[in-house]
Amino acid sequence: MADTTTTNYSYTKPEVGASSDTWGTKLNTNWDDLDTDLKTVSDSVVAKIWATITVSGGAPTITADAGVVSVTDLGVGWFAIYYDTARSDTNYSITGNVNNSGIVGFPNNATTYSEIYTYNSSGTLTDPSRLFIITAGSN
Amino acid sequence: MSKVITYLHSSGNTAVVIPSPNTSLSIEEVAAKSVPAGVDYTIIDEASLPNDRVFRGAWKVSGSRVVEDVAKVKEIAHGYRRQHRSALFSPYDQIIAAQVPNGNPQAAEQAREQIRANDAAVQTSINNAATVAEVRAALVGYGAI
Repeated sequence: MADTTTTNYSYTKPEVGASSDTWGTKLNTNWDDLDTDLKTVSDSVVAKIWATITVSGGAPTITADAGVVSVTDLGVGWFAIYYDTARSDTNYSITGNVNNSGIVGFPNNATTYSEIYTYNSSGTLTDPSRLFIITAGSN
Repeated sequence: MSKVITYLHSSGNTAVVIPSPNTSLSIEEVAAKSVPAGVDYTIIDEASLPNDRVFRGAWKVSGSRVVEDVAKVKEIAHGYRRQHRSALFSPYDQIIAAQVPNGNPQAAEQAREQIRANDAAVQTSINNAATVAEVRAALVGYGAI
């Protein structure tokens, strides 16, 4: 029986009882290929980060997962979420939802933060009573 | 007592950085990640911020507190006043502009005159106010906030 390969990534499975002088090279090649493939997969993992901003009184209150280091109140209807670890690029998605019929905009997304505008139905910057933000993209 | 970080944003607004409750970083480490490089900042107690956001655009750092700048408060207050005046005018504007049959445009014009007079009085009160509390009282009395 000749060497065979695995189903998904075609790693070499040396024929049992054969490859007496080549099995080490074949297995090392498998490990190198596996290392490369794992790196590719981990880089493409979608990392989600979320935060909730509640505005009542003076300073907003926030809840967030460990991916958020802070929220900056930049003015009425204007906030920025700062990430604990900088993203590798700005090609991440960000969505928001406010519970008082507002509109959410994202004027500036960087690797370390995202800015958020919240408007009322007339298009005026307005504080949300509660804003939920979630970002998703590669780290 | 919770700490927040304040700094002057390039927009002219006073920014307030609120650390995430889940962060393991110190307040200084949060500042390093959240305040633009080279910008001075102040760490203050969250309790020293104003109690509401009616005059959010007038916030400024003064020592270890964030206070409301009276001149900016007046600018913002006039915005509230004008917005409220427009709302009060609106039904009478429609009667006059549309020439609604039996709409009594003379009465509508009289009502508009009264609104103008009341608004002028509030405008004067705001301009003459010496404190934020006086500005706020004028707006509350007018029904604008």
